[in-house]
Amino acid sequence: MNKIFITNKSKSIGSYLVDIFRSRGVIMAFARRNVMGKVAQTRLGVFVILIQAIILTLIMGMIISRAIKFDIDYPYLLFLLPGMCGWYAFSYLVSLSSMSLIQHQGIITKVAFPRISLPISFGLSVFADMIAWILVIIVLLIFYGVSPDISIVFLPLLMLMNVLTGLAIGTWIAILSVKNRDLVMISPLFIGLGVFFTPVFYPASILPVWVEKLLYFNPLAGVVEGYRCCFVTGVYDFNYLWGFLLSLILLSGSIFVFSKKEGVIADYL
Amino acid sequence: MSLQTTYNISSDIAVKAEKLSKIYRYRGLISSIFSGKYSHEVHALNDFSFNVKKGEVLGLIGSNGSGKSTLMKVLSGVTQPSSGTAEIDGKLLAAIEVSGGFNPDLTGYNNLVLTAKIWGYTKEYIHKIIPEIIDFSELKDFIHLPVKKYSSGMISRLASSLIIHSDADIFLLDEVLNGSDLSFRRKMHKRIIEENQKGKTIIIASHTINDILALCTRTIIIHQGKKVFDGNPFQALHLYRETGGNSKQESINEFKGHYTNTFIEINDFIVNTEEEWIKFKMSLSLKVPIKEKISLVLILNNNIDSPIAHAIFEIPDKFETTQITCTIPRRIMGSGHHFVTIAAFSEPDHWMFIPRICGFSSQNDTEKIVFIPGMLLSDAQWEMNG
Repeated sequence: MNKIFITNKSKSIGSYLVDIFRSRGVIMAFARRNVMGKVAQTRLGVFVILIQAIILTLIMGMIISRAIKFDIDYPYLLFLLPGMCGWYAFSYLVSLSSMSLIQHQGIITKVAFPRISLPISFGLSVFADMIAWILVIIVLLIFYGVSPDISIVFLPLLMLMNVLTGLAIGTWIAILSVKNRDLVMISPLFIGLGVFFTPVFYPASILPVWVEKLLYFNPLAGVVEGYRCCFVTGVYDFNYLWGFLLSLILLSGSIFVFSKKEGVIADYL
Repeated sequence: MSLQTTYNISSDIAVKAEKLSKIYRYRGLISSIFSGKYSHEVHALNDFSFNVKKGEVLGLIGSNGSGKSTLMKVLSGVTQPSSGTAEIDGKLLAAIEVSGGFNPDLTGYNNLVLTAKIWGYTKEYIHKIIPEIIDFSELKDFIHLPVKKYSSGMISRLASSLIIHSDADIFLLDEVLNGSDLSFRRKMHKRIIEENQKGKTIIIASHTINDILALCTRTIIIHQGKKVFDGNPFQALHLYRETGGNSKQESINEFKGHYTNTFIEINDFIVNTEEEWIKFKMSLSLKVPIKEKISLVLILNNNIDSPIAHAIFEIPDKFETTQITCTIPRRIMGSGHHFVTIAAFSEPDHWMFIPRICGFSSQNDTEKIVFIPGMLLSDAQWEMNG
């Protein structure tokens, strides 16, 4: 018999993970709802959201490559675009998932489901945006006549890393701003500044050695470098995985906090 | 040990709640910055215990903010209770403002599918029921339009159709029938009774008397998070109307001043309660000369708004100002509040209707008669064979 017991005790992390797994249909439904809601009444679909970002990137690429000469042996646009793809997916995911609980309070206060499904669903729907970016990169690769490295088979893995990194930050902001929304208001500024601490516009090699070592602990640096490795260079410094480890730790921490706060999220929103 | 005894319930109980409490705490702006203490406490549920047997239809009534929705939210797992336990045997569907969860930009069809998925329905089941839902909601022509183009009644129809096609064993229905028109409301009533006949358990919160009377087998009154009454729906409604859910007597509105329109003016409406009879005195004055005769109707409603009697008087003489007295036997009335409605008409275009012009309280020994809505037909013939 499927009896349900309701008490004032919070769930154990194990049963919460089982709950998340059981509600994978719910997560998929939210992800579909996010994408469909976004592209409703548009003709270009996902591209319409990206058009601004992509055109801006192309223009910036032209300007920067004219102004500064970096020590790279392939077109600067091919350097910039994979970096922007990783960065854009990350910051977009962070802003969406950190707002996800607040924006969906209508559903949260009426339907019972694991609350972490909402940020996770944005993690899934951001794949649509990443695929659009990758299509643009492929067009550029053909334009410049550059063939991608064999390590492109790891591209799906990198996209997953990218999403997990975004979720690690986004879920923390989401759960911490349920009661007091100060954090979710301030965080876009810091996320926006983060682009300068990640080798998106510049290669990590122009930095002093000790700063470059520090970048190993920036989870996004590993993702951005990974994209470049896949599409063009084929060289990857595996020390960057330390950063990914950091984001995994952050993510498991936020899942734990979600499991503890699950029952009261609806009250404080 | 104590856990086992708490959870060891007989299998014919669908929902068992034990001393559920829910306390909401708020801080004022100043105290939230400086002291961090909670300045306000609201007991939305206060030691609330009840059982629902399988196959029962339970009504919940109570004024706004009495804790009906909080109870449903706690039972469905949307929010945790502050203390107490509840045990639910079977698949539960809580329909709390379903239409609020629709995405206005998506079509009705997509919203149906997505909401069903968020409720945890399987793909096969969704494909099976979607045509039935669309049929039931009578929205076939609009189903591929975005929901933002729907009227609020249509959205409510879509939501209630989706709810009632669920395969859940226990339904929590919170005001689901609000906003739908009369014919759809009747259709839903019929469907809810059908579902109940299949053995499903239903808990309904409603402010509509007809929903409670037509559907419920048992009714609970909630007041300030506490159970005030648990039993017969008729008695519950009677008590609820009599007291407003609390122990304080609701004040009865006396008729004051006068009521007037272009046709007639009513002054000094007085109710006199006597041993055997009740007398209604009023003075009428005409505003315009009328050739035809004027008819006066007095309708007596009990406290759940069912008309229990009416009397018609065709005023025989022409008049400008007159005093009229109507006497009604008290035996047709039960105990409790009653309301008088006055209508006057003459020639097709002269018409006046004053609902609940005056309320009065009547105490009778015959408790039973209060459950009978409608008029007492003294001419009816009854026969009994065998």
